[in-house]
Amino acid sequence: MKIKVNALNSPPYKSLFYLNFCRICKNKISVISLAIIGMLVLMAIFGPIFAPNNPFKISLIHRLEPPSFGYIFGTDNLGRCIFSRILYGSRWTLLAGTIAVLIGVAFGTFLGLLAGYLQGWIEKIIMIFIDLLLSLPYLILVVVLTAILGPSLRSAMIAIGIWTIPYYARVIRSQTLTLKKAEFVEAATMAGENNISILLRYILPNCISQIIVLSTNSFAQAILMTAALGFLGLGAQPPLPEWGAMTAIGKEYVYIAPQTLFFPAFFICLNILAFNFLGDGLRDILDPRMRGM
Amino acid sequence: MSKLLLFRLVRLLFTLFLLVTLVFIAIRFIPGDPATMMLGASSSKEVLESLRKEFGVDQPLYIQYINFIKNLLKGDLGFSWRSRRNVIKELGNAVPYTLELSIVSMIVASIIAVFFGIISAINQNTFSDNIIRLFVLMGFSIPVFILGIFLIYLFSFKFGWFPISGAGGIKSLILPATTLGLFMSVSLTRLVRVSMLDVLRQNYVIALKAKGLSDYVVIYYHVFRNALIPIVTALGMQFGLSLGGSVITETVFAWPGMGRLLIWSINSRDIPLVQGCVLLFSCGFLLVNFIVDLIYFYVDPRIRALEK
Repeated sequence: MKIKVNALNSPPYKSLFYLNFCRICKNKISVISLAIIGMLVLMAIFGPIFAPNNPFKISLIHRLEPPSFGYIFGTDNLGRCIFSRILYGSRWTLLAGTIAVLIGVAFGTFLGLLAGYLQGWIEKIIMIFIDLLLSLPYLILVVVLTAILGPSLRSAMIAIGIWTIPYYARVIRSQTLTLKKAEFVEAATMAGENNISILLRYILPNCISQIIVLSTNSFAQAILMTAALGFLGLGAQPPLPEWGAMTAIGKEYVYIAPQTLFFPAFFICLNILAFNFLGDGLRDILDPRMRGM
Repeated sequence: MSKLLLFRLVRLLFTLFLLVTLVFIAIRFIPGDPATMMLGASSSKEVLESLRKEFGVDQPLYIQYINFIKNLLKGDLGFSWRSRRNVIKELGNAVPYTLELSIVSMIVASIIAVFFGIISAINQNTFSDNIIRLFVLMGFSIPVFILGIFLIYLFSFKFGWFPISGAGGIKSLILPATTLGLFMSVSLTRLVRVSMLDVLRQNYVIALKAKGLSDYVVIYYHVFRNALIPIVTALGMQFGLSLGGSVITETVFAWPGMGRLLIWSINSRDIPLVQGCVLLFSCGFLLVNFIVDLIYFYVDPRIRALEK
């Protein structure tokens, strides 16, 4: 006779990714922000194919026209279709955010792991470097770096990436310091594993949730700063249809043609909002200690 | 205790020295020959060379650095290449405007943040709390320049209450200060709410209520004062935010402060002026953070006990 022992029947295996995905779906705001971000990605990939007009085509007869059938969002001061420019501009926005976050994650995590794990004089030098990066107030570092690298969108991306490095480095360093004292790391050291293996197999995977939360917030900051630099004329240069540069044009003509300002500003704010909401939602799910903020 | 103070002061000076050197080297890499930019590429070679000699850019880098440090210790930051005026004089003209904007906007930000942060904390998870948290999250997503342009459009253009740009009197200060103040109040509101909630969770709050004190006294006298400690430390960060935010705000409102001077000098490749601006920004920021650290040390009795 077969005896059924319920204790031995384990529930079907569900991966961590699937479990977290279910948690995200339960949070309504995260779902909405994921939808908005998905729309941004679709705009970036397929937008230029579906753009009704050429975003670079100047047509002085159609200057500053309000939204109409031919020009869905109207035209700017040189007669270019604002809707098409916004579709093309979404590519630059997404690219700027991705590269800035990648630079920050790569270098910041590397420096943080080194500083936290090796300690000693290496840690001191890294912390001095981090302190230097943090000693310039909010936008000044990015402005000066962009000026040094030459005003362009590429310099803006690199400058913003460098600006985010200290934030990752500090968080990863404190996480590494905590994890170094954990028992499984002690056990691995005693078993004779070399340092790199310990870092990659034990410490780094435990930092990933922090990195993900920081990345979404950094992405929002990167979009904001790229737009700010474009507005100041230090980021994307004309005729690139970057949303921040479009707001600079919009500022000049807002009194006679508000559509030149409204649409790029709306899309900038919408995307920053989506990434901020997503960041909050992910933080609630992945790091319960940070809840209550 | 004074040994700790000395150690911190030495660390501050060391950071300042490293920063000065880094700024010097980095700014020399800004592309564009200043002589050509000023006189045009078609000028004769001798004129360009003589201008470069006057600026000192024909010397090798280490000699430029030694001259720079020597002059810095004498208190001389050089002459602006564009306007030929002393850099310190140029900065001196701009600093009062930036300070005015920073201080007023920090006051505005503090008032908004304390008011809404306290309401949000004591009514946790109710409708008013959720509305305030929603506005805070939305506030994080609106860049300063968009907020500024929107306020100009609404209050200067549509209503005509305030001048569109420029400085001159209280009326022209209101819009830029409100813009920057709103921008800074967002993170501060969140901080006030979190630190109030932290204190409200403590056991001694229940003890105070059990003593029979009214809610009003408990919250505004005891809880708020203890919640102030992390807020005071955040003031240093707020000052940094106000400096950086002033760069954009001054550009939007044509406010003649240091931020606008920095952008202008970068665009004209005026190296001494860029150097002066960046040094002043960072030294001011480091100094304020140092002072806030000291204040934090004196304000929080727990830290003093820890250091002893």
